[in-house]
Amino acid sequence: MLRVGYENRAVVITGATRGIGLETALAFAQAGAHCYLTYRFGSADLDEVNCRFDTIGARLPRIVQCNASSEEETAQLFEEVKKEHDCVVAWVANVSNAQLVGDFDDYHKRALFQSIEASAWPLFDGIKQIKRVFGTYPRYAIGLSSAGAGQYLHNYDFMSASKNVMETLCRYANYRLYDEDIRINVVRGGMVQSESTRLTFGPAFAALTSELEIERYQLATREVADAIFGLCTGYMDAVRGEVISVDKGFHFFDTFMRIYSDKANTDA
Amino acid sequence: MTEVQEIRDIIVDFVRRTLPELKYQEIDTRQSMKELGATSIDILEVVSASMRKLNVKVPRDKLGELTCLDDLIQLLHTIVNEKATQ
Repeated sequence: MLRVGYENRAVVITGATRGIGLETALAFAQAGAHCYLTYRFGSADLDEVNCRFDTIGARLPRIVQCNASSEEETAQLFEEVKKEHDCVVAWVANVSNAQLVGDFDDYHKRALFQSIEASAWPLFDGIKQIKRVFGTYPRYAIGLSSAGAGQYLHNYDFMSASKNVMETLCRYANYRLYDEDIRINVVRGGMVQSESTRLTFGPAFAALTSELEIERYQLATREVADAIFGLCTGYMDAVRGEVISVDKGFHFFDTFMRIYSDKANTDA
Repeated sequence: MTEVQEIRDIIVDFVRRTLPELKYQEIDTRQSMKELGATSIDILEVVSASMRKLNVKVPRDKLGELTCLDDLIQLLHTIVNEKATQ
């Protein structure tokens, strides 16, 4: 039994036609929510997305093409939601986009600022837009960060920087809005098995994770989605302004020494 | 049937809007957007704007195969005309 009723109430999730975004939407839809899913490229089969909702007996989502880093398009999105709902219960800023960095020559101020605009700012822009359009804040606002905010990831310089901006502002925004009816948190997801991971790190990455038997430490997208949903059930309302790692503790032992331990244990 | 030139004009227009420093410059579509000074986010901007204008979808993994603007023009030309014949 949830403490927050989602039956026919609006939940908005960006980048939600696949991966963590889609699984998050399904978790909310299962609780009765009317989900608004945004996408930019639409390379996902939208019939298939609807089918996933249909299969679990959930209300079909509204799927809206929207560039989450565009303030104008985000405003239009919420105006669209307002036609059917008088508030947004949960706002999940899932999508991010950053310039990948191959070497130091790729360090450009404009690319860094664009990365922050596309990967950190949408969480806070969405909160502001919801307040402007509906007159109230969303009860829950969740931003998606990644392991790269705290450790080295391949070519991830600007994405890591952007995620750190999001994590820092999450803590500050919670202070700024402490007396408001909103709970802002960031979920720092571990390495997930998704198309996004494949596109970001390339096919060779998957081959290497297999060779090093890392796959068993990777998460299913649904595991991250369930944590996001868990933060929005009402049972964790005292958790505010936090960065929650959802990686089964892998960040602690994602080290060369653990690779040695795994090998030693296998050889023993 | 949508002509290649029509798609070229749309893409070049979005390149100029995304990279205003190229506004009055001749754009050589044999070049990549990176060579023209674009970031990967600029490239996504141009592709998504072109997709919307042409009302088609481009699989994201196809973007990684593009080496120059002519490749993008050709890809969109193929997708637009495939859609038209369906």
